[in-house]
Amino acid sequence: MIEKLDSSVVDQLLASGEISEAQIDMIGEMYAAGANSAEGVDTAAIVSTVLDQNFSTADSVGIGFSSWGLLACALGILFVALVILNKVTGRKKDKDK
Amino acid sequence: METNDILNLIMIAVGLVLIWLAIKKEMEPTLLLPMGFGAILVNLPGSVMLQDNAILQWLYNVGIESAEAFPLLLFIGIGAMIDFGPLISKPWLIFIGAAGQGGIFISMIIASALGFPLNDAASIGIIGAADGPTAILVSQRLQSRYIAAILVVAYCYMALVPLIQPVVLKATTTKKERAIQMHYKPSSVSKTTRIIFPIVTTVVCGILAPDSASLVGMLMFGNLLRECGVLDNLSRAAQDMLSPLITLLLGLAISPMMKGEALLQPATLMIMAFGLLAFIFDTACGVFFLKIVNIFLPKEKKINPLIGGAGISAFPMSSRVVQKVGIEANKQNHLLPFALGANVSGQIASVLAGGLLMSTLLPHVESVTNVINAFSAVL
Repeated sequence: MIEKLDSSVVDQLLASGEISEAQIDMIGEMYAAGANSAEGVDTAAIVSTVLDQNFSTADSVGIGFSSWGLLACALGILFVALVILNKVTGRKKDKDK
Repeated sequence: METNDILNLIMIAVGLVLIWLAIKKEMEPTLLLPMGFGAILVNLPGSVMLQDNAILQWLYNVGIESAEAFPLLLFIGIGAMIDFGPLISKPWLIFIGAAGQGGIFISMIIASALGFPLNDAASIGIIGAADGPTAILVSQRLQSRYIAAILVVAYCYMALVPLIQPVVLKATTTKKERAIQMHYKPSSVSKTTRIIFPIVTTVVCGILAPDSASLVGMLMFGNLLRECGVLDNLSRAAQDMLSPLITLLLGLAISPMMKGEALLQPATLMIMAFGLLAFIFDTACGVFFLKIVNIFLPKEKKINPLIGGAGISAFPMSSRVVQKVGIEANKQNHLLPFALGANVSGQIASVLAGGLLMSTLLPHVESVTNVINAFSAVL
């Protein structure tokens, strides 16, 4: 199925590094099958199939805990920003008094 | 009678139950009423509501599918309703929001281990945050196959916060812990701080998790409307009119996804179970976080771990639940100001968590949709 696409288009698709030639071919097959059926193309099912191939349970553990860590870091930065903000505006209030 | 007709009949019954819950039990009526009515409309025999030019399908296409306008606009109203004062005056409460989102990630890992692709698993995990608009945005952007089930389950659990959370809070704490008294010293937050806060939050979150910028941005814009002091009429309109109106439209826009054959699948039951799990974990993670913090604190400075349970997005329901459970254990307990701070930090954290998951998974989803678009042009 991949041969139906222009080679420059395929190169562009592969450039992201998140998809392989075999997967492009598989997506083409799934797309064609959907387009020829009464139900139509099920984009969500195609996305799920590819992501299922790309991520194992170990990946999900990594993504889960790294996202949680990043979230804590982001909120940590907000915490620092809030403390500084309170200090600055608190000092201003004292001066006003 | 065909199977689909039976499924449609079941969904009409579900619609009636939602209407009953909205009217009789007053559970999230602005949402459950239109959802229930919409469920009846789309499942009627020969319903035309799912055709491209039908109003419900159009609401879905415009309000959810094309630019996620409804959930984002709803955030303006939510932002205008929230007083971030308790969080600004006690910045440490922000970490409860971080801990409270553990349920999202833990449930995502479990769902993935049990065979759900990561985009579906992440969308299911977000249910735990009790944040409907974020659940819509994440599941829509990540192209989950279970958007309908996720949305229905997310909003139903949000409505069930007063029933689910007390059970989890009591199961994860001892009576002695629940009775810990907290002393609240009210401190005023200057107007300048209140105005700078939404801007700083948007900038920090937008830089660290660009995919959360739209959600955080709308939430914080709503809050800026509230705090700026020169747009009081608009702020009141966002709280009193925009928010319920968009919720109502959102309820109707979701209904095209409540067609019997789409929603009544074995996977929906799994999603209900995972959603509950995520919700329980979210509450429990916040509680256990404070229990761990208490190990390092002197006796007189111990924090009531119930406050950790408010680190989710259901505002202000979750805070009220914490206050109620706290008072049951100790009549002198006044946990509400702390719980409100934790609750609003849970609001920010849940949006950020959704943004972080989208940042990780969206490039993969987009590369697949790019391939699909390439094939649609040649086949």
